Amino acid sequence: MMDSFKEKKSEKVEDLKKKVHRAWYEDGIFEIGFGMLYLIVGLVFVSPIMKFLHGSRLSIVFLRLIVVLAIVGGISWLIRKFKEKVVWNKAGYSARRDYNPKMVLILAVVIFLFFGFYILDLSFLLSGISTFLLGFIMFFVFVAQYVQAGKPIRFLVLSPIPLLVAGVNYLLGLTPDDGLFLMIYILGCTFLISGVVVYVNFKRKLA
Amino acid sequence: MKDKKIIKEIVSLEKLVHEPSRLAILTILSGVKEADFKFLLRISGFTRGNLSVHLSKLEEAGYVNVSKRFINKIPNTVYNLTKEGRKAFNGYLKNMEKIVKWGK
Repeated sequence: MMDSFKEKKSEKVEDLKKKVHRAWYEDGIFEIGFGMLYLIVGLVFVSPIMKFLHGSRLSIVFLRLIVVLAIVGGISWLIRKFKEKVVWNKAGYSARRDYNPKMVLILAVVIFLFFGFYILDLSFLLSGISTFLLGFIMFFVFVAQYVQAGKPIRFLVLSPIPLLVAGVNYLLGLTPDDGLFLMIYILGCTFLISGVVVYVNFKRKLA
Repeated sequence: MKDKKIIKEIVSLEKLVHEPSRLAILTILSGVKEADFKFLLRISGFTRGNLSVHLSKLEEAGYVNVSKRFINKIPNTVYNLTKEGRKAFNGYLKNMEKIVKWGK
């Protein structure tokens, strides 16, 4: 009697927590944001700005970091405006709980090391490790989303793609630069398409 | 002695939180920094009237904070858990766990 009572209550509480978590991803804007981030970083690669971003001097590393932060900040601003105008009036508004400061610091250091030293400085790429690193990071990001949110199977479908692309890069023997380019564009397009499809379905559901 | 303690805990289970609808609202709000009425309505699946009544009770108890603002010139009512609300919710879950362990 007591067990079933507990199970029912805790199951409902857990289900509801997952439902809240899922609500942040059901509009597909999470993937659209990631896709945009990848494609814009990819564009920076081939733009004339890159001339000023080569080198391993500390000032250059900071400059690269500022470029990445500007891109992330710009995308976040765009997404917020888009949600304000299109999503919140139909689906309702909710803000995430504040992040743990320690986690934010660790994430900031990882982003600094990864983007600052690797992604935007092609001369720094001495091996194909960076594509695998990127693949693993993305894999864990999507698996974590799947575990926390419960149902959205699309995260399980998306999670192995970065690893597959990294594996294909390795098997094809692409140069690290080409491999990273391929990874960024394939992931960018995949996330963007996935996000748009989810968003269209979400809008239909709410209409 | 232990039984007495457990019975005390059962009695002390807060009725305000124990009610399933309010427990659902508190669970949703415990997972967010803040949320508006429409979001709570969508996630909980309650009717407007039902949600409104339970939110008022939680607000009266000081467990939920209400603020009003405008988004694109449209009025928007935002709710968030107060410190007392979070404490009551977490305390309730802890007590439930204890009681269930005792029941086993």
